[in-house]
Amino acid sequence: MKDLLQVKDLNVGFLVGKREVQVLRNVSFSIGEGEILGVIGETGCGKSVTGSAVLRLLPENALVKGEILYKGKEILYMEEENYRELRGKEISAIPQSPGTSLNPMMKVGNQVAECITGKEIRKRESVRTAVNDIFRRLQLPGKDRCYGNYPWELSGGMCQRVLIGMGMITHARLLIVDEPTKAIDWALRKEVADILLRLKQEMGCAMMMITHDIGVASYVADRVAVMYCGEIVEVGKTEDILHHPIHPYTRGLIRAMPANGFEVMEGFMPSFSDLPEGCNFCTRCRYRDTVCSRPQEMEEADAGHWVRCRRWGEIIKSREEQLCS
Amino acid sequence: MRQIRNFFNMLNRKNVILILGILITGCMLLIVIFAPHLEMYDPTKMSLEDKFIPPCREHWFGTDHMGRDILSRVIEGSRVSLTTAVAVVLVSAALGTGIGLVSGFFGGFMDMILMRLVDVLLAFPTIVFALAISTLLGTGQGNLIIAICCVQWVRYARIARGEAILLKNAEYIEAAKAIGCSNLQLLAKYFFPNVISKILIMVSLDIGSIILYCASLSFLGLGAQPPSPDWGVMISDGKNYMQYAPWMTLFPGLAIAVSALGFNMMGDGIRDLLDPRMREAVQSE
Amino acid sequence: MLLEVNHISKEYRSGVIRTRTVHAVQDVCFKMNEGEIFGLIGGSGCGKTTITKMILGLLKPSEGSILFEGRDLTKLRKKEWKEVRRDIQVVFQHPQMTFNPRGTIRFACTEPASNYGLVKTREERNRLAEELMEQVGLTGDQLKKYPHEISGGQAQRLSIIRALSLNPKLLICDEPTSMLDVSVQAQILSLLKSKHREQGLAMLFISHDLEVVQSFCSRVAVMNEGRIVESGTVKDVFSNPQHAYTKKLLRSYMHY
Repeated sequence: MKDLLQVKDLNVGFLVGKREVQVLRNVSFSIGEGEILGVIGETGCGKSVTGSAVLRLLPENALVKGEILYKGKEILYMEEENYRELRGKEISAIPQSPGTSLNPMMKVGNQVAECITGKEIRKRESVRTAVNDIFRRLQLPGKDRCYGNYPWELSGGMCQRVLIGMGMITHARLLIVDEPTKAIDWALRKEVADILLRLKQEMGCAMMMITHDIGVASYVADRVAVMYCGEIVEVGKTEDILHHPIHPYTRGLIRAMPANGFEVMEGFMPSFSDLPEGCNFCTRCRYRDTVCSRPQEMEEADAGHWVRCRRWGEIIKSREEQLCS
Repeated sequence: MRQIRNFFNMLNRKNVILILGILITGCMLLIVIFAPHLEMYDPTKMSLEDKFIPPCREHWFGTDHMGRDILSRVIEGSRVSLTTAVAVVLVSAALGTGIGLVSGFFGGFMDMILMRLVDVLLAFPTIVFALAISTLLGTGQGNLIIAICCVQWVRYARIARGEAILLKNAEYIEAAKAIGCSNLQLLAKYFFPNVISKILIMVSLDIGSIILYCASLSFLGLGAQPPSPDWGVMISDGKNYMQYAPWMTLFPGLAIAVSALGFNMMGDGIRDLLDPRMREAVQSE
Repeated sequence: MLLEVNHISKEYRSGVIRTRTVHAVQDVCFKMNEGEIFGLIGGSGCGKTTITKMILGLLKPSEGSILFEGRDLTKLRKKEWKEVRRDIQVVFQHPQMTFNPRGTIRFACTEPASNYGLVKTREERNRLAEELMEQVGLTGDQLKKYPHEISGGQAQRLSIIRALSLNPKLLICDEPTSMLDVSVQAQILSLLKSKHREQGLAMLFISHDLEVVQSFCSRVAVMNEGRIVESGTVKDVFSNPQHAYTKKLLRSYMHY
């Protein structure tokens, strides 16, 4: 599979007063054409910052180092004007919280239409049909009726679909989807997930899906990256990560799921300003050892399954022993 | 302690208006406190041979038609004018907040009656209404304070009631009810602290205009009575001699303008400081 | 029987000339035994929160009765309410919003106990505060902080522990984990579960998350548009759903 997006050693820090607080450390991943990468992690682990970095929407006090390649072309340091061409047409975003991301005083159809008209001036009618076409594809109810609705007339799930429509109307090749299921009802979660899947199948667009919802990630994503304290700790095929996790943090996360008996992980996520030495997870880890106080590198434990833990070999061994006994 | 430190941190951020406002009001305060030591002459002592002396080395601000030193009178007048204004604001804010909170908290019939009363009071121009009450009560410092308070409390009541109604639906108020807080506790520990910052902002913004109200009513002869040196009274005295002794009105007028400006600037600054969005922006950096 | 909710309804009327009636809750019945964890499932706007408020006495039902240990809550006088409230405590959805933003954590977490005269002096209050903080794994220096300065998970654990400081018989949990991460959710659920085991605490667990309800509750009722459409043991409802809405909910289950 050809890589559409490559992120190499991305480091992001924020200037707080005169001090720099490092939020992302050596984040590297790639997304292939038509592939969905799920980025999972807890609140404040840096997953949204990663998304903003790709979209170049970080606030001004951010210090960015590293490389982001889109179709092999460097985009992180490219001229703002050239990047603006790319953003929207090639790379697009679906923001979180449908409640606040839509303008309440504007018809939803016009809000979606604005995404095209801003770029190329087309005839009104053709824009309208394009929007209605998108709405139909997203299965928004009522034949062409949603166009004239205001956001508050629609339910949360419908607003979420309108937002998805805004992201895909320009036929972008890469979508950054931020928490698609956060503010909506449990029963609608699957509906939204199905729409994302269909988008991928019909239009072949790749996605970076940022979420804390492991269920959605497992349903939609082809590959999953797990983030903890600004680092990717494990990345690989969805099946591998969620069913055969290696990194102690991922294992803890999976065990904490209600269906697995909500086992509690020891300790809390440290804040970015006081991370432990070496492995960020070492203070909470059951497998900690002396090697854990040194910086950890990503190592390939299995084909395409990378782990940021030096003790992955022993962990696999103990897992197999557990299975045998 | 932390709040005080935060406060000073925020001051560092070039909040020029606030600093200027604090400086001016601080000077005013010092003048009020040390008035007797600053006066070079007795502010009420008349001497007819010294009347209408224009500003000179002995009398910096000149003298008035009775030969009294205007600088001393302006300094002494600060005690009368400023204390009146502060008293008015404090009394009306306390009254208005109390009434507004209770009205918004309990709602119902009493709320309706009170708010219609507020509407009626707000429909009149403040100064006209205060004038009417003050004529009814008679002249004098105390009556002046009562008159302006009668008009002024409604502004605070409005704000406090609005806030109380908003708060009533907050989740933590429901939580407080669930853990067994009585109505009195709710009002004292939950509603009052959450409303007080809004009220404080209004108070600091209002003092400026109250100084002007007091001065205008005194000017019309409804406040402090002639021998006592109120700024409004002084302007009123001076207006007859405007043509050949303009300093008689100029200096008390300037005093009113500067103090109103100082309080307004401080109020603006405090508002910017306490505005939650502004404060978060400062703290998150 | 600890709690009996009998045919309660709540309607809201709006408008003066053309009145429009909205039925928030219609004819809801359910019963809870002592020491039971009862789940109430439903999407947003189905009337779950209205039921909570009616049980807590913050809203008066238009019809029906709520019996708590045999006493009809809808007919209680104000003084009697204060006694009953002690036995029915609640944990809300938004952890940070359940605390007075102008009060410190020390004030917030000891407030219930001091309202009921369990702690009187300042020293007793401080001691209780530290005790409670220890129970949820927070350090003493957090006591000086304000609610917005602690994390959502910490706030939620505190609001649970402060509700439990009154030793209630029933704890109403209104979506206690829907705003929290998986690992924090696990902390909250295991805290609740251990209290359930130790003190025989009964819980009315309101949630839209089937996964949590399935692993946490013993009996459930499914609500849709203000009515209970199905109820039974977790096993029955989840393995053999009868009502169309329950089936639809179960279809949106995403296994991983």
